[in-house]
Amino acid sequence: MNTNNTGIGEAINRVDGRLKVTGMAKYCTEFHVDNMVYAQGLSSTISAGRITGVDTSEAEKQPGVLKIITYQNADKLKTFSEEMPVPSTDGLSPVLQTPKIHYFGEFIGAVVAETFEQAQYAARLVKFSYEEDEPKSIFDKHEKDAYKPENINSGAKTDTSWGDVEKGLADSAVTIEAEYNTPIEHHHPMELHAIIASWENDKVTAYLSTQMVDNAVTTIAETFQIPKDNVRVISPYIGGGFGSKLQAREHATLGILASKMVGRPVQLTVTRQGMFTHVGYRQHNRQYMRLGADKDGKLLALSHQTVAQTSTYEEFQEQSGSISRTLYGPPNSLVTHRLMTLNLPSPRWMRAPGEAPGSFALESAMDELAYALKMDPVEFRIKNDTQKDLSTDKPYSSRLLIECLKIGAERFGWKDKWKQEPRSNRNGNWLVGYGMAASSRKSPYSKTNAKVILDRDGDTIHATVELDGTDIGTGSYTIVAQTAAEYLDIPVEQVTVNLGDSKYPVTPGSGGSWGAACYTNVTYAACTAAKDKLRENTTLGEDASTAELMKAKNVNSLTAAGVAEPSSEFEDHSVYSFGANFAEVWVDEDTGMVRLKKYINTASAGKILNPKTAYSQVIGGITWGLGMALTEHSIVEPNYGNFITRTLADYHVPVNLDLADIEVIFIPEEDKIANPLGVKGIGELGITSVGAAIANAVFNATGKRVRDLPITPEKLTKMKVQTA
Amino acid sequence: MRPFKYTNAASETEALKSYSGTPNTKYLGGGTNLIDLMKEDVERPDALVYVADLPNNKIEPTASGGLSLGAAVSNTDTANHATVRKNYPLLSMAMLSAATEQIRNMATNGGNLLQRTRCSYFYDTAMPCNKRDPGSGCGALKGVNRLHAIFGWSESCVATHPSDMCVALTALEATVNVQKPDGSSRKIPFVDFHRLPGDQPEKDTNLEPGELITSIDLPEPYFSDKYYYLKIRERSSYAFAIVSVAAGLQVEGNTISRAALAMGRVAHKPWKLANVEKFLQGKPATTETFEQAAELAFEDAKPLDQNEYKIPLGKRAIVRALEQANARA
Amino acid sequence: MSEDEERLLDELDIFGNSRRNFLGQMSAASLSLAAMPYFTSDIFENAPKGIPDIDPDFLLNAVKVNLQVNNTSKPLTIDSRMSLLDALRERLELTGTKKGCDHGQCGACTVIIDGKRKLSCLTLAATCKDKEIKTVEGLAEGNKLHPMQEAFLKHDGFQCGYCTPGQICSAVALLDEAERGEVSYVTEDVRQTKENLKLSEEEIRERMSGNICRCGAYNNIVQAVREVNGGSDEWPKWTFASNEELERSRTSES
Repeated sequence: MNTNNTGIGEAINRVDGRLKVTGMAKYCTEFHVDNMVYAQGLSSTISAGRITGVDTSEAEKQPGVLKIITYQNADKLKTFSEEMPVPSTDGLSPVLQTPKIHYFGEFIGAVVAETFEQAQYAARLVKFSYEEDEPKSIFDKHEKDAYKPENINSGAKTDTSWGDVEKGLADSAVTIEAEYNTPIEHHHPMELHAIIASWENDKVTAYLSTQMVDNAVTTIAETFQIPKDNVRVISPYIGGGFGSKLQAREHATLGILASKMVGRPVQLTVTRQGMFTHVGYRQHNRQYMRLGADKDGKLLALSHQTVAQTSTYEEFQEQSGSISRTLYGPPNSLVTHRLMTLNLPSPRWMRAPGEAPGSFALESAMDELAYALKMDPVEFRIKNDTQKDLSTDKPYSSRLLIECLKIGAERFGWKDKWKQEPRSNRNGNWLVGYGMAASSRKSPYSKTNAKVILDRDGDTIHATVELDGTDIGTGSYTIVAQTAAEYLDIPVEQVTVNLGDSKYPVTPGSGGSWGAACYTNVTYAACTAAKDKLRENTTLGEDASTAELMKAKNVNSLTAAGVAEPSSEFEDHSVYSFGANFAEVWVDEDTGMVRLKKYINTASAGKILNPKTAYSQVIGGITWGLGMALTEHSIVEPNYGNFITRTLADYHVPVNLDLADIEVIFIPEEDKIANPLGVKGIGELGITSVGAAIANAVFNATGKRVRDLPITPEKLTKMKVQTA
Repeated sequence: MRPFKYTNAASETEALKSYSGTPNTKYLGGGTNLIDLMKEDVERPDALVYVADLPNNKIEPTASGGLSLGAAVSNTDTANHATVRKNYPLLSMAMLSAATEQIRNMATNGGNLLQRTRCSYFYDTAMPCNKRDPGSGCGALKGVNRLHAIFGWSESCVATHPSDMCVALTALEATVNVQKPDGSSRKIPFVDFHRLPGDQPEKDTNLEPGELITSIDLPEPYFSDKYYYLKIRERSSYAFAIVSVAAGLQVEGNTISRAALAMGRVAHKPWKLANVEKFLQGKPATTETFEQAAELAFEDAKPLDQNEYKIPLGKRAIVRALEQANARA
Repeated sequence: MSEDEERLLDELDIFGNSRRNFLGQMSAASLSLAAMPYFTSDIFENAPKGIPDIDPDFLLNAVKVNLQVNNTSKPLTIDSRMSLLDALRERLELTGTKKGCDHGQCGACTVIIDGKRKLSCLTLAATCKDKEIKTVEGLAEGNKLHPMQEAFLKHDGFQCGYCTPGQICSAVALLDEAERGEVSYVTEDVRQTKENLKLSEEEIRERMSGNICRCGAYNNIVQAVREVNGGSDEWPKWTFASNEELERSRTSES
């Protein structure tokens, strides 16, 4: 244990906080690289077809222009050998290798110039001519062509079933059947995706805003066909990722390519408008739900069938139905995923892929069924808890869903506030509603490496922990420092954490809610290895401090490596975090505007390493869920296939006034099966089911069941009150 | 952004002179819209004359008992000016509903009147737009038009005017003072300042080339007690309206003696409801009256295929705004 | 590292006296907390100081402007098209001010010009002649953080940190606006004439809505602003379920 109150579990301030509040934290384009020039990407203005001509004459005349790169003159890169590859975080990222256009806004070139202003303007002057094909842009029109993909994201199964859903539905006293839609949504981290690329002979350094350093190295090495050792990726501070920075995307390739072709370091920043087409998004999910229960509220059947869209060149489907396989224990279950191809950019991972849209459908449908049963929705969920993962037949390593539900309901005052009948509470012009939803997110864990270096100066130890993991705002610097402080028993001030550089040991990076578990367990492993080395052949007792051990051995410096990886016990269990959400919303029925007033979240997410940063992760997730519920949607222009919502003035991410008081209650949980420190991710649990909790509260307020997110004034104006 | 010559004008005369020097010159105020559009390559001036620091930066009483708002005064300073708050709170509230503190600190009163539409087709040079490129067609007419006009649109343009300030100025019947390059000046009644698209949607206003807005005059205050600016939007702040209503009432006993009413984001210009104002005059200040007013306001509404909801929403907005105004002491 | 940055780090005591020592060799025990992730890697070393001025012949429409940034005069020859944001980041190495959208739609580039918060992305650098510009790098005094910076640290008013400089500049300007008695759209009646406002949660939220935080740190930002503006502090907003609660949840019927 740490005797300085800065170890695991303490709510210390972020160790990188001082740099962030003074503007001194360096994000990727803020490094000074001598002789640097600027590249501006060029994007297609049709959605399907091919480039038939490029006119660079006007652009070339502009002062400062160094190079104009298109498929006609781009260096050759490795391209995909198979049709419709499944995207992976270390997959190839070729660009400008073909005249073919797959979607509106695809990279088709770059202009490199001495200054940013020159590059930006010259980019406007490059003219492309096209031969257009008839694009497929409309979801409704192509749904009939949806097929069964072999693979869906995260290794989830495309289809599963047990029991007999049709019979379960037939046997049910009460059933509901409904279609839910979550629209295309975009990540929009505040920091634009960007790179500074710099070649020296056949070696490249990439200052790249990326969540996964080692995967970026692989992608760059493979795409440019150079050894991994010739690639260095540097990413110490990342201005948000949310999944969009899991992979070194085409802009990274374009920046590196441009640097290679002009022989100078190049900065390339994706424009905010470009963030709609270049870095992925959450796909449109249409989810057909059929649920049935006996008259006492026991679920007899749960069918969750989703259809989504991918691009015409990559196959990506998020596992939206997977939450219906594990959150409850229906005896009859059917979950399927279907996919259609459209001339849109490829969708990608976005905060809680699968769970975020899937939980909206499942937890809305559960609310609808509870309403039809005239049951309290909290009790209905408790009644249908399961202690076994029916989809894998494995036990849960730990499952505290009932605790989350009951404690959350108690803190919220659910029993006093909530009334079954909608429109029961009014305050002036506002209809007041209460809604809830249960949540759950898988807690992955995988092989991670780190190194700890101990330096002694008299009786003082300084530890440096090195790993190529990243801090995307999640607090990695802080929790790694706390873990080292804990297990070396030194104050956190004496710990240096170095992240985000491919010269450090390999980790899986930040994503999928595994960052915290992987980074801290490997730090624990490295610190333990260091202490073990020091304890070899020592006469000192168990309680000897690190400094005493080093002194006794007369060493001033010591390096130890750590490896963390899942145990066989982990493989034999289903490892998940759980939560419950309770929302109070006020709806102005005349204006259709919805305001969140109060939110309570309970979370059982293993060991809470730092409640301050964990709370931030949860409220961040809830803010995302609120955006999903009320404001965010990217609209595809039906005639041209572009996103007509193309700026942050059209695509509304929540602002400060959209938020309200949020209380988070951590449910103490010890889960050593998950990993030695019992750490589970919490950032994606935070977003899961928030959309449903808010939509359920809007129904409770208004009697209007909005099944297509977001819940806009337009939809509430058009919709009729649903009567029981 | 296209290269341009930059001049910082020290006086109005100098600004007007600079304008005449280069064709295709634009006056630059706070830049909150013009610079944005230049970055988008929608606005392509050859020269900019900076006018935000001109001396027409005062708010002063007019001889006729009104108030004159200098064109270079920022939106923040106008909305927070003691006399504006006291006598023209409707204007203050409308201005404060717009954008953010940072943008209001930059935006000038003159510039606010010249804001261009937020139509996505206008903003994206890859899309057709008659307002941006006359003759290229209107993408929104048969495209995504859920946020577009329901009054006064034409086959060539269905865009809406985005300003909040202008909705209040329309309701309050302000006058715009402009100076011409030849040194002469003229006054434009606010309802005539902006125009409907017709077959020339590239023209947002009735300003002549080179004319510089110098100030905006407000008439004597009639609506300093009962006022409300209601802004319905898809995010609680930092968003343009879907529909907005500026409402001012003068009520004696329970009878409306004078009304000011205009809507925003429903037409190519701020939408003055003069006939509804007339209807309200002499009527009791009741919800029933307000509901009748709302019906009257939408008699001529002509929705596009995606924005019919603006009619019921707008009607409720009018009732609500009038109720809120009337509820004030 | 630019000279400005070095000076700031010195002033903030981020590195303390051991800085040079440290860069030379690892003797980090006396280092202050904040410096840790910053300087131990070689990527921060050997950066040249200052960016050479651009040859004006190279620019169409070159404009000379003397920018007054954080009480220092910075003479520059710039392209007339250059935004203040790009001048700060790309020419003056003041990268604390962030580019989030470049179109006035996010607030990340907020700086304080002549006492008012403004967006540097929509401000042409050429228009800033004779104006006092304050950026996040200029908020601390000597080694003392601005109270708003301290409050953001304490309340975890950020995650990734990218919107943070803009949020903090906004919040600092907001304090003056409250002192002057400025009203907002959520003010009940704009005719009120109070000064030195202690802002409600709703008022803080509306007035901070021009700064988007995609990580969703809004509630913590509100706490930070509230503490500095009104002295009230309702932190923290998290708790752990008690043993009694856990017990009850495991035994009671529902």
